[in-house]
Parts: sequence; C-alpha cells; structure tokens
Amino acid sequence: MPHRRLIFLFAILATSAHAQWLNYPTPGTPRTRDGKPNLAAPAPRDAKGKPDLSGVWMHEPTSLAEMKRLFGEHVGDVNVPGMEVETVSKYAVNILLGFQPEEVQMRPAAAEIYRRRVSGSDSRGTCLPIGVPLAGLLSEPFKIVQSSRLIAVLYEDSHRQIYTDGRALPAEIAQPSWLGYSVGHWEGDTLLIETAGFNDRTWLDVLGHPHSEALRIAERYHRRDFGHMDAEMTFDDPQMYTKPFTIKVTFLLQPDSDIFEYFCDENEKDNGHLVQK
Amino acid sequence: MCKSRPKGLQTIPQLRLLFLFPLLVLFCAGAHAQWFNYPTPGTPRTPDGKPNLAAPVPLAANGKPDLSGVWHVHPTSLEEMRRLFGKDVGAVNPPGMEVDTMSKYARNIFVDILPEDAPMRPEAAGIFRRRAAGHELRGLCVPAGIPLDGLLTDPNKIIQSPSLIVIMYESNGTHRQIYTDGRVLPAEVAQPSWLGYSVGKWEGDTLVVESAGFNDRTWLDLIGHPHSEGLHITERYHRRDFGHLDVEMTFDDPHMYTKPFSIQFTQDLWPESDIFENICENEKDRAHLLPK
Repeated sequence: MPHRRLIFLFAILATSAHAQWLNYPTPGTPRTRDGKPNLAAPAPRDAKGKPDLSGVWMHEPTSLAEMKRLFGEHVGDVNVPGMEVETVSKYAVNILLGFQPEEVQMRPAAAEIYRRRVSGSDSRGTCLPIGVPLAGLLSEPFKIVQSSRLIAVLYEDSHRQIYTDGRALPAEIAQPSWLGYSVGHWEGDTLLIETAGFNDRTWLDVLGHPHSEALRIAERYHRRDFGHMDAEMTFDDPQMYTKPFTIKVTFLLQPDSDIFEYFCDENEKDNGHLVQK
Repeated sequence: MCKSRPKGLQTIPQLRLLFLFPLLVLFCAGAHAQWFNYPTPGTPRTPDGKPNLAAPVPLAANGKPDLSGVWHVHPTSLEEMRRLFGKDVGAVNPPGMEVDTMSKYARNIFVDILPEDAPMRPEAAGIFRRRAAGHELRGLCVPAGIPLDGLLTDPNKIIQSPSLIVIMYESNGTHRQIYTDGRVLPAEVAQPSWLGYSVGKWEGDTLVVESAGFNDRTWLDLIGHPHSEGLHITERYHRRDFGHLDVEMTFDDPHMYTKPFSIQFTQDLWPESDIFENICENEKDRAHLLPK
C-alpha cells in the first residue's frame, strides 16, 4: 500500500488534541497513597449494583515499533501533532489485520469499494461522523455516561445512545443512521450491546473497509478494574464479508481528564480539495 | 441607556422579516421523531394507557428529581408569533421547522421588553446592527449554542447520571456536559468553547446550573443578539411534574449588556419519543453566504 495514501488518510481524519489541560481531579476516583488514581482498584458499581462504565476512555495504543512492523517503516514519517501514529489502534488502520485472507474475505462488492478507496477514488472526511468502531480507535478519547436506562457514548464529534431499558433491537429500522441503533443488557458483569440500523457511509477503518446497511455489531464490555475495560467487537455483514469477524481492544481509563468539544464544520476546508480522482 | 439599537422587529420592514426565512433555513435540523415511538419503560400512564404527564416527578437513586427525558420548549402559538413579530410571520413555513414549533425567545431574546429598553452596550448594538442588516451571518453547520439550541424546533435529551448531566442536541452530535460532582466553575476557563463549561448543584428540587467559558460566536437569538466571552449564564431547572420542566435562564454579560436579563419558559416532555441524528452532511451554504 502506498504509505503516502495512509498519511493522507490520517490527515483528513484529524480531530482535536488531547484534553491534557483539563485535569480536574475527578471525585470518587480511588487513589493510591501518593494521590494518584489507583487504576487497579475494583470497578465501581452503579445504584443497581452493575459495573459502572462511566468515565473517559482511550484504547490501548499500538506502539510505533509495532505499527512499523505491521504497516512498514514509513509509517510515522509524517506525524501530525495530536494524532501521532502511535496514538491510534492498529485496528483503526486495518480492521482485518488479525485475519488471514482465507479466514475472512471481502465479497466482490466490498472488494470493489475497498479498491476505490485505497486508490483514492473515493474519499471520506468532509466533517462527517467517523462512526463505530473507528471513532473509538483514533487519537481521541471518548466518554461513557451510564444512567439507569440509557448509556451514552460521547465521542468528540458525535454522540451514541445505547438503550438499556429492556427494549429489543427493532426488526426493521426505518431510518439508517451514522451511529446506528443500539440496545444493551447485562450478562453478569459484562455489558452486551447489539447494534443495527447503520447507514453504509462510514468506513470500518482508515484504509476503507466498507460495510453495508445490513451490518450488525455485537459488543461485549467488561470493566476489569477501575482503570481497564476489555472490549470485544464482532462485525457481521453478510453482504460484504464471507464471515463475521471479531477484534479485541482494551480501553484505558483517562482519570482526571475529559473530552473536548470538536466541531469540524467550524473550519471545513476539505470539500473543495476532495475532488474525485 | 443605549440609544443606538436598531429599531425593534415590529418596525423592521417586511423584507427583513422575509430575511429571517433564510436564517431559519440555516438552522434547519432534523424532522420530528414521530415515527420513533417506543413506549418508554417507567412512564406513568393513565387508565387508557397514555403517558400521564401530570404524574409526580421521578426521582434518581440519590433522591433528587430525575430530569432525564426528551424535552422540547413549549412553542409559542402562531397567533402570538404574529402578534409579536407581524402578520407575515409564518407566510413561508418550511415543513419540520414551522414558526409555531419554536419559542418566541428564539426569534428575539428581548421580545418581552420594549426595544429601547434592551440593555445593549454600544459594542453589542454594533454587532447586532451588522447581523440584522445581513452583513454578518451564522450558519455553516456550527452549533446554535445556548440558549438557541433549546428554543428551536428540535427536541433535546437530558441524561442524568449521579455526577454528570448531559444534554444532547440533535444538530451535529452536539452534547453539553453539566458537572454535578461538586466542582465549582473554574475562575478562568482556558479554552472558550461553543457550549461553555457548566457546573450544577441542587437547591432543594431545583437544579441550578452555572456556565461560563463560552466563545463569542453563537447568537443568543435568530436576529443576532450577541454575547462576549464574558457571558455567564445561570439556569434554574425545576421539573414541575412528569411532563413539564420549568426553566429560568439569566444572562450576565457586562461587556455587552448594561444589566443581566432573564427568560422563563417551560419544556414539555415528549414521552415515547427520541432525538434524531442530524448531521450537517450537505453543507452547501458557505459559497452563498458572502457577506453583503
């Protein structure tokens, strides 16, 4: 893959810098004797006794060495401040990274879309939502707000609702949307989320692996301790892929921090330059 | 007292009123979520199964009123809008953003007082005049901000967790955080933002929210009353019963206004409904929005 293309893709996904300045000591955070957040403390519980997933989370980034091993020596040659290569997940670059071609294959329709995107004939950007899972795998943290019947996921560029009020996923979703329609329920201490009703316009990764409106995502979130949340995401899109595939990601709590506001259209200058090749 | 304020809306020529139409279009957001009527669990109901909007206020686990729900400003009637802003109001009524689906304060935050009593300082009057004359425009898919995001046609959704209250607006995934974890408003907010920095605390059954740290780019209303980065907003939210949330907002911006001013309105619960995604994915305004 031409690495210039990869660099460009990162550039158009550019979002705001980390919220390092915003370090208010969050009340309720367990702390070690020296006052630092105790990330190994037990996971907090909500009023119903379920694990409380609330907090600011960031995926465990892939090291630069590993990124270079996976994607070539030139990855990171151009490192945009605030979105350095080692601040994104390897799955953000290629969601099928863990699979051999014989395990999961793109169907011809998917392969054709993917080819257009990799060759630059089809671009994303232009201030549209990054979507699931990519919005949670790039350089920006996200925030979970758990209330009694609804879990909100606040990305810096959008918000996602996960209904935990007992409803089931509708059999048919009249209006496909960028973030989809999500319902969650608890199996023991693990939150299971089922999502459908996506539009087909988000990319699963920076390279451009596509999905159709038939995509269903099953997610499992387990807050292992105060500072760590293990996630498993299974993507099932029979129109585009021969088999469902799964990625596993650990999210790290960002204590005493927060997400930023990010409104891309404030300074939207891509549109005029994104001429189709 | 500022004497340089432009004439009140009532006396603005018809052309100006028609100009409000493109302004409304710029604010165009998603249609109502009528199709989206999942019977929300926990909703009190009358014997015929309808939501009982007069039922008592639900309580959160910590015993405080739970403000969670889908809310929409109680709209001003078309008749009242015409009385206030002229009979041509509503002559062009885009579906999904009809004039009588929004609050009168969205059109003019000073609608309750005489134009000459609006406490604008000369700087504010200058900005307002430019905007009212069309020399300065907003739109372009940026947040409408506070209070305007909550006074237009689109509902908003409150999610109350013990230490944080989130208000989700439809437009562009905008979300506002109100910290209820005991923190106070920082003396200085390093990075002014569209939605500001908000902290809330309970005074009895009333949530009192203090906000600062705004940038100066949002308009307080559709006709362009401005504010500075010095704006400080105090909001009082009281959920009167299951279906009604009374709101009082006080704006204190000494750079722009000679004294604080308040608006009061009620938000109606939209039971069994929800907010939509409204992503500004078709931004075509910019090229046409050349300042005059």
